Amino acid sequence: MKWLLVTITLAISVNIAFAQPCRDYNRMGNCLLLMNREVMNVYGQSKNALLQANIPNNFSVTLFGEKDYKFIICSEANFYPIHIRLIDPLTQEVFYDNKDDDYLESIGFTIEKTRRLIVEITLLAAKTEFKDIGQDRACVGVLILWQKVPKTGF
Amino acid sequence: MRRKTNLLITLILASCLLGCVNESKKKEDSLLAQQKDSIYRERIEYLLPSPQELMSFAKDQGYTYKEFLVNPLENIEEINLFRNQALYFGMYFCDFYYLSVFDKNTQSLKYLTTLRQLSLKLSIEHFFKESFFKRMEDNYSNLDSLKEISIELSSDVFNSLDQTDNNMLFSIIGIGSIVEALYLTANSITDAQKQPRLVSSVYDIGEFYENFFSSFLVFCNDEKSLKPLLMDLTEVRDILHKGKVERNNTSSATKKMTSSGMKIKISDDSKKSSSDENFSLLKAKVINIRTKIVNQQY
Repeated sequence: MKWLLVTITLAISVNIAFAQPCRDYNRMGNCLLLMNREVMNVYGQSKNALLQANIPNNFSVTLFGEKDYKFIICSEANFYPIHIRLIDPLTQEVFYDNKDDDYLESIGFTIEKTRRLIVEITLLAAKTEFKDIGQDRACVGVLILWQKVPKTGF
Repeated sequence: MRRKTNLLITLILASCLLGCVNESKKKEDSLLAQQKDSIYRERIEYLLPSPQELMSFAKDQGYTYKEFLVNPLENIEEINLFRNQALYFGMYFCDFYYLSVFDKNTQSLKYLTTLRQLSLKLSIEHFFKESFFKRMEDNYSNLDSLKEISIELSSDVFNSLDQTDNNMLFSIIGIGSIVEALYLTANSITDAQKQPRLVSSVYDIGEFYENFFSSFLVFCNDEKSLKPLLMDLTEVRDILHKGKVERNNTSSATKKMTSSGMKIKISDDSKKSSSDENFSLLKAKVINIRTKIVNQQY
């Protein structure tokens, strides 16, 4: 009976683990390393996802005004560089493209007024050749850090 | 005389018919537009903030606690339909945080207990991890610790909901939360002209509404029973959009290199504020939806 219970529990745990392969990914590896250098708060909309190489993925995030933010994006080693673009959802204007800065994975910015942003992420995997189906997918962690804009001046 | 009367009747009938045709054409166009909109939105993933972030923001903006605004705890056995249970869950979730950020700790714990009971009905009770309740029991006499643990627990629940495959449920819960957040903030304002900062922060929360609305549209658009709710939510979205147009924002981004790396500044140059009329409309519509949620009219 005990063995049966143990087997069922194990089966459920394994199932959950596979169902959410990227859970807490943004608190590991490169993301964790970059996060530890900062003294900012973690924003609740930080995200993890399983993405396919060379296919752009968009997510919409709303950010409070009068705050400094930092986006830290991390993935598996052979999926770099990561192309990131910050886009205005209304006008489609590209506010920032990390291609211009040698594909930086950590972007700091200030938001003056509460607004939405579309973040487009593409895993370029420039140095990798995928041979089998499924090999071109990897976990991506998006860690969003924030702090109040400090008052400046005397 | 008879000829004139006949002509008049014909004219009235013709205008009615034309009106009906126009109305059905309008509805068709609106449905088509919504469908197109929905297809576009499906390509984007919408991140939904926990009500904790919205309520903490509200407190930072200078809102004060108003007891009468929180929906009193009701007998959850009387909430029968799944969608109403989900809407109530979202509403109480937001109320819980509202009470927590204003340090109404004893009261907020009652809401947490109700949320746990409601979670059983929604089959999401496993997100309320026992370890948190064990820690709460151990800290029963320390209200500050209880508050911290309960906030930690509820944030964990909200973030876990985001990672389930039940997107429809998460979207409905989200709608319950954002409507309550708008209700609590908009109804705290007694004089819109004298409290422009608070009015502006209602529109800030409105910026978050767009993501909740889009997520609902993507995951619940095909569910017939949710159409009346969607119609009402679309009205709120249109009012918020009109308010944004009135503010006449123009955005710009500047980039500079700092000692800590690259930094971008995204500015919105809005010289105007939304009109009082728009705010009154928003407030009235939010009250209307919230009343329908409380009365289980969806």
